[in-house]
Amino acid sequence: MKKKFLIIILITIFSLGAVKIILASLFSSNGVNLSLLNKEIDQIQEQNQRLEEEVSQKSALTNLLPKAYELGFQEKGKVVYLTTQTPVALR
Amino acid sequence: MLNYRLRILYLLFICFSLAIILKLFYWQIILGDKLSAQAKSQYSVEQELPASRGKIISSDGFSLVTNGEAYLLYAIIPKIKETPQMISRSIKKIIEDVDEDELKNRLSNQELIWMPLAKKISRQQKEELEKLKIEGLGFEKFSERIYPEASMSANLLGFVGKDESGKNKGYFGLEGFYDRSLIGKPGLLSGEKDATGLPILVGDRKEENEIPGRDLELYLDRRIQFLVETKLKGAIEQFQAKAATAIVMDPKTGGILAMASYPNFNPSTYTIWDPDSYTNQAVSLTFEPGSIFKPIIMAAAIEEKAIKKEDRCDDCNGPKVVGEYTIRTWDEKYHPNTTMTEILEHSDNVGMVYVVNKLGLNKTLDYLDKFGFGKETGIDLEGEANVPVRDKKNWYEIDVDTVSFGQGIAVTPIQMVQAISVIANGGNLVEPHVVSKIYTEDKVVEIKPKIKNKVISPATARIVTEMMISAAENGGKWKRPEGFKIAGKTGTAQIPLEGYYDKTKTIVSFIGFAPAENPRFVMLVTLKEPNVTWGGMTAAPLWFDIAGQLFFYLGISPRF
Repeated sequence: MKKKFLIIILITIFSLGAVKIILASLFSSNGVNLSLLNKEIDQIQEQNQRLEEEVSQKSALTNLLPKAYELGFQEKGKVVYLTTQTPVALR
Repeated sequence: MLNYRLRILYLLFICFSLAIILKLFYWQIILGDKLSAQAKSQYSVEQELPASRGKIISSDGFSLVTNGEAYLLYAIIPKIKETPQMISRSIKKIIEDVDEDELKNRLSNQELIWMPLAKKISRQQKEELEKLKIEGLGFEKFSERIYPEASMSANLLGFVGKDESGKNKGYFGLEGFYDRSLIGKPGLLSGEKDATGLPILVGDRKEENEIPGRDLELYLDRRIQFLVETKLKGAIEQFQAKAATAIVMDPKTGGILAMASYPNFNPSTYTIWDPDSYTNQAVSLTFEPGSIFKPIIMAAAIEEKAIKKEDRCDDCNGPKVVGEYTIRTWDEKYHPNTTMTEILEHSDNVGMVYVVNKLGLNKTLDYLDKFGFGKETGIDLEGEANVPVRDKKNWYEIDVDTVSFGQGIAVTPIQMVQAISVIANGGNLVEPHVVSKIYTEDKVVEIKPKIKNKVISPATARIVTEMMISAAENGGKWKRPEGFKIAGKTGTAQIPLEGYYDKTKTIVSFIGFAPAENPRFVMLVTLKEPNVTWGGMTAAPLWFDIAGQLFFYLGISPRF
């Protein structure tokens, strides 16, 4: 009974050790992947920030106004409002 | 003999053992901490994950302040192979605002290994410099604040500088007021790495995520802000004014739609600007308001039934003598038996003295407090100024008389806008506010309008509004947008200088709201020391010019 119990303990210790070695070897190669993924995330975030910055700069009113003049847009003239008064010809 | 040899060997063993013990003692006990730290630095990594600062967004969703990247250009002196002259010339070609001689001096300094050469260079400049492949030059990336609209609304936004410990800190305006919300909380990554620097996932690894700064959405409308700033700048040039402010506020919510202040600055390059230009005059300037204060006293007197709209002044036929002082009208014209409405139309100082005397000192002080004078408005901007109203015991008869036409009391532009909003919105004192929403990681916090107290009844507000409409229509010969009911009042306040008023130096202003029947905005414009000293000829035309554009932009139709 005692011998059987000892064997079970030994088997458990060895199998846990083996699992740890397998996992360690698996995860150690995943470190490279993790590093690459982090780099990719950083690059995408950087590109996103650059695009956001570019959009903000290009759509700023201080930049749009001279561009609008360049393209021939003009300030609006006098605005005429139409009234809802009854026309003379109507009965 | 053998015994002798054994003894020597024994002694040698003891000596060696002692030497080993001593060396181990030296490594483990004396150098233990140092060596342990060295070893740890080889296999462990601890990295701060910076939190991005929150953005500031206008009501149309445009980022008035966002984050971008910039680089620090540095040199590692021992690695430099080209001459300092050649390197500095190459850098100067790409970064125009650097001092070439200063660069040469820095590159020639052999006492230092690492030397900064240029701060805040752009990505394009960095890429161009990289193409030159100059050995010994390097770049350090950092995040910087980007202000796409440059100096637009600069005094309202503030800027980000450094604190005593070299960390980012917001100063002035929103950046200063909301610094703790905008700044976020950096995260921390700790773990083990292998010889090539790659992370070991089975080792001790701890990752505490960063909490990004909160984004702020404003009531501010970018197009209104642009319009107001453009017009204000034009008026400064036209009238050669030294400073100017403009505030546009929604009287129902207290939301600031636009706020401009001159002189201003560019927050991206704040270090090269005069520090005086950082001040937001709209909340920090204290001035004697002059005649734009008259509707406030009039409203208080009507609310207290001290006067009625139909009353006529029986003491307005000439200057009023109070002790050693004589109170006159601005144009030396007097209007016997004048109505209360005409007092505002003519901006009649003597008429206002009649009104304030009917109201009395106690009630006047009561209403100054109720309208929010003498205390901060609570606007969410750093640097709000306030001059407390004097104690009752320090008020003399002349002080009560002069306060009726806005002299002898100091207010800020934002206090004036807050007070006139009471008349515009039917009697409520609403707290002015710039931020409408705060975006956290998982929710949106909406800032609801805050009504501080009820100051006057809707009936009184209607009566004073009608009086202000008459003042805007008949108070001067300015060009008004046709078909719109506008309630307004001009002001010309002399600037007090060492105990007397300088007649040549004035702060001119116009305050009003429109459309009077259902106001969409309250607006105040002020110009400091213009070359034409009357508000009716300077601030009023500017106000109506901006209002005309606002009607069109806000889709408000005229009523013929």
